[in-house]
Amino acid sequence: MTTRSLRPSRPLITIERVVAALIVLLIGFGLLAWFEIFDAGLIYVLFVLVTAFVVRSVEVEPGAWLGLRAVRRGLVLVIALITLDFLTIRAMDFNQVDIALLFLLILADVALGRATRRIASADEDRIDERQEALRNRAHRIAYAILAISVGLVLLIAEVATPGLRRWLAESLGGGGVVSFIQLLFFSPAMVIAWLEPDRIADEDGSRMHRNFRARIAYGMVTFAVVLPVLMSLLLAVAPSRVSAFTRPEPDFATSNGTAHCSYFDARTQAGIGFGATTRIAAVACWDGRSAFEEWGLNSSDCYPYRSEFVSTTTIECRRTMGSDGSLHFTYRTDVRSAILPFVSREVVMTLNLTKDGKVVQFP
Amino acid sequence: MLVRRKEDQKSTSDGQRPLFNRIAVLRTERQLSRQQLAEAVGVNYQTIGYIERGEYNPSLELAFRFAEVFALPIEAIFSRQPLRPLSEELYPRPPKE
Repeated sequence: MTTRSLRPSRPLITIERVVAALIVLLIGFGLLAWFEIFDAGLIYVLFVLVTAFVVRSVEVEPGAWLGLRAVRRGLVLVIALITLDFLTIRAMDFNQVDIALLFLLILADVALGRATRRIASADEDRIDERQEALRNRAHRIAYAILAISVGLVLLIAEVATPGLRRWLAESLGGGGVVSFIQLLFFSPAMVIAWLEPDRIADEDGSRMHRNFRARIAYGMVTFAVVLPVLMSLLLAVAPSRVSAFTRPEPDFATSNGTAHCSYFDARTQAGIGFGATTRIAAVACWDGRSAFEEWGLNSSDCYPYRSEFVSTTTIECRRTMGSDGSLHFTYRTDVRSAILPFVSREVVMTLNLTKDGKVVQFP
Repeated sequence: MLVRRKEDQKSTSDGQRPLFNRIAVLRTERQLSRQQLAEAVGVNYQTIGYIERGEYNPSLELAFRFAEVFALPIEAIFSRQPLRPLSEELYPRPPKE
């Protein structure tokens, strides 16, 4: 921006920075609790956060389209409709369409930031007096909107019937969180986009200097958008990676003599990063007459060991005993991309063990 | 290029009574782009456009900066009344007989 530095430089520690740091810490802890450390998902989320910080450090111009008030107001209406829609989504009902809507909302918020040159959250020394006045007005209106919204929720909670109260609780635990975050952090920008008049046509040509940082930022944004799509496609084409090992377990006496046991552990990874890991971890035994399960080969053991950006559906989880006393266990699951739902892969893991302890197939 | 506001426009976008100004004509006369003028007075170039269109009233501080840049008194740049063209001020029309 072009503001002459007439103001004294800001101190390093300000209320806004402390609040921002606390919010980042809270989100960070939430993410660490949600994802396991060093998961691809966590790395991706961290990359998106870094991208957001880099993009925020680059000055933006809204361009011809977003400079028009009519377009900006349309954008605000779209964001408002998505925000309202999320209010009706319960956590248990989150589906592919809602994930797509969430991505759309994020993109719309990025466009909103560009349309308003991120005035709503810019440092004071980066905006001029007109922008500061506009921002103050927007924050006042946004606060009123937020206060009315929260007040309405409290009012509904107070006078609600049990059914309505249940809906409210479920909504606030699901998409309501997205709506609240949207209102809390983006309503000032929405108000600015709504209020600001059509922008003045730029007589000096493009104002956006494609400097090195801008190129890096756009590259990171492109990478952040393309990466999930590519990784989702890899789910279908990349070969599954299988690792397995067995380990003898202590023998024990049965009515048929001595039973020998082994611990079987196998993992099959479908996809790279954005995929699922299915696992068999069980102890199976044999005594010369039959092979049998000690633990780990039941229907309750058929669940994905780890899944990221995919949904998994168990197709088959079956343990059978052959007429020759052999043990057969099959775990078949469908791994489907959450981002590209038409991309899926079937993962099959099997344990076939004869009555003499010979492993015919694993996994 | 004087800013003459329409009669139905009684206020700026933030609800203030409009100020009339000669910034556009002075800027053209000095061959300054909005960006150059914005850098000279320390605001965003869009703000120059909004002031020219009468959609924003500058603060007294900013008005003084305009006066410094154009080396003119403030009343030559801003006015509560519609401003007459500079040519008319230099060469007033003879009164009608």
